[in-house]
Amino acid sequence: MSLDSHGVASVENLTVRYGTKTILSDFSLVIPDGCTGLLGPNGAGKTTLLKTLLGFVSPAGGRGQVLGLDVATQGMLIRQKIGLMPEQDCHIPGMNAVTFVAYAGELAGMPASQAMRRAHEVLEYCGLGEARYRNVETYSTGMKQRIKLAQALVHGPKLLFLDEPTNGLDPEGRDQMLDLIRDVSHGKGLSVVVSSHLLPDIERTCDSVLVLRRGELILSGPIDALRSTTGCTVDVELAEKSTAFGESITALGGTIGEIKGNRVRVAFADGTKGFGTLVFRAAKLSGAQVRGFAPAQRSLEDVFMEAIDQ
Amino acid sequence: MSQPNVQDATVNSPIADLTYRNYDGPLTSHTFRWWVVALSVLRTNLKKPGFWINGALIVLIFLFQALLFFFSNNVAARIGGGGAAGDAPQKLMSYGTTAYQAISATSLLVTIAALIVGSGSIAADNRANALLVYLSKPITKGDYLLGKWMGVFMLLAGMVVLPTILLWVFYATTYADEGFFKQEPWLWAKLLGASLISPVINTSLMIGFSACTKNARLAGSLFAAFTFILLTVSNTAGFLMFRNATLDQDLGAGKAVVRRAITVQHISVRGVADGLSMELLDVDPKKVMAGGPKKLRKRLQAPYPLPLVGIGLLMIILPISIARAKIRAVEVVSG
Repeated sequence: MSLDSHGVASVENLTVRYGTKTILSDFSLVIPDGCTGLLGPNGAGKTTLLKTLLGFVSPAGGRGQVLGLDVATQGMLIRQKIGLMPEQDCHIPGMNAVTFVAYAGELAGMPASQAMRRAHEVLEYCGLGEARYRNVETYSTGMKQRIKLAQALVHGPKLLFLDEPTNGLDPEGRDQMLDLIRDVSHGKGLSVVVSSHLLPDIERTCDSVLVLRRGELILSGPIDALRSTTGCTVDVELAEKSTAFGESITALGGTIGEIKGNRVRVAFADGTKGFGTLVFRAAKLSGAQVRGFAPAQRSLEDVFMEAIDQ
Repeated sequence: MSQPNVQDATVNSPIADLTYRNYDGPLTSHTFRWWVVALSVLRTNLKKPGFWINGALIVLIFLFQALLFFFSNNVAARIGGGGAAGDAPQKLMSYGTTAYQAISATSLLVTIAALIVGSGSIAADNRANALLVYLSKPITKGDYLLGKWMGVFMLLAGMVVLPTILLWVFYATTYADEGFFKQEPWLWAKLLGASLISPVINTSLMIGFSACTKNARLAGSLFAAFTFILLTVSNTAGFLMFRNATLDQDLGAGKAVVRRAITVQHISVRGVADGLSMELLDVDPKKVMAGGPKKLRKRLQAPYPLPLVGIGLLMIILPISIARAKIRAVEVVSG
């Protein structure tokens, strides 16, 4: 892999050590444009990778680039163009939300008046408009997550790193945060990297995924492509559950897979032609009513578990 | 609570535009990015009543010294009759000695002010993980540290320098006719230098202690303990050495043994500031020490300046170096 490869960020033969412990060893990847999920179990090296790309941690070997800028020598320029929403709670003590976000903008080089105007904008965008004059220390967990996003967005970054953005959120707060992430990462001219171990969050917000395990990249690609199945596998939706339909399919050479309610996954041997006709024939034989069928897709969880188990 | 997407924004709030827009506006130069940090320290601490109370007390001390100078010189002029025609009247206290006494008397207040404005400067950021915010923005550790240091320093320096300037203005306006500018053409620079020593040392030490902890109170306590213990130890050791030195002097030893003892007595935050101010303002220690046995007072000398410069630099550089090493966006286990 070459650093000239396209993508918003990439690393090549990266090695990161904390003392004697090696977290990332000879690690290479390319983070594509758009919204990318960084998946992996705890300790996989996701946060370490983000810290390295931000220049917080000096790699023991290898190199990396973010938005075409060298991680080792152009850290300042990189941080001008990126925004970080850290995993931990973080704020500037003694400030209210609008002062905090404006201050973050000024730290990024915005003139004070622009930073203040922009702080109001991003706080409205993040849903904190009515609480903007409250001290950040009095915020709930959900509000703290939002303000972390606001301070990361204030200076108009081209790339946003979100580290466990839904940590500690209730279902409603999580929904709203995922909506925000989805919204900001599509059609707004900025790429987003979401680091999480929550598969549904990644599935809902991201277009592509990078799966890490013990400091190694074990899977990468667009989520749709990873979820697609090989061969002739279809999900058939029946009007109601029918065991006879399964028997008929088996008799016609198909295999019944996962059954979820009225939805039955049916696999035919590779190269089977006219499997749609076979489904309808099985329905006719069994007396079942087919509501529809579509090429089967695996869940991201299936893809993830498969990759982790390998 | 407002929803983030465009559709809801238009439905719920026709006036506010809740959509996300990118920022491509102007950016300030990186050179003065530290100033943003310093300005924030200033804004936060100017709201603290403790800072203003300390400042007011320092102004009162300078006012008292100025009045003392004014009246004592009036008395001297009446007694001495002003000398020969055209000569400046003899003064009981020199300009420098008065300023020295005022600056020296403020040193405890400067230390207290350092506690008030500086103890939480970095410790509070450590507690709130604020370094993640700072260092994920395009500023360096150096910018952050310089901003914090300058913020605290400007507050402490302002407390001492402003009344010092007023004292100089008082000298200049009241004694211009008596040849003040001729006698003391560089007093303004000496006063400026002397008034900055204590703020520089106190700021550096406080920043150093603050960077080492997540608790502002703990940082303040460590700083206060360090200052107090060093002062007590150096004073005690210096006093004992001074007594022995005077006995040695009686037996024929030179003046150097006494001066060495006095230098040891000045190995503290206050002592370094006092000793160097004394040197800068050409103060005769025999004239500033009130009370005490006359025999001992006669033997007083100014401390050696060079060791004090060295100790002062150590008190500035070491804490800043420690703070720089401690400032990290993330905890990195190095074991």
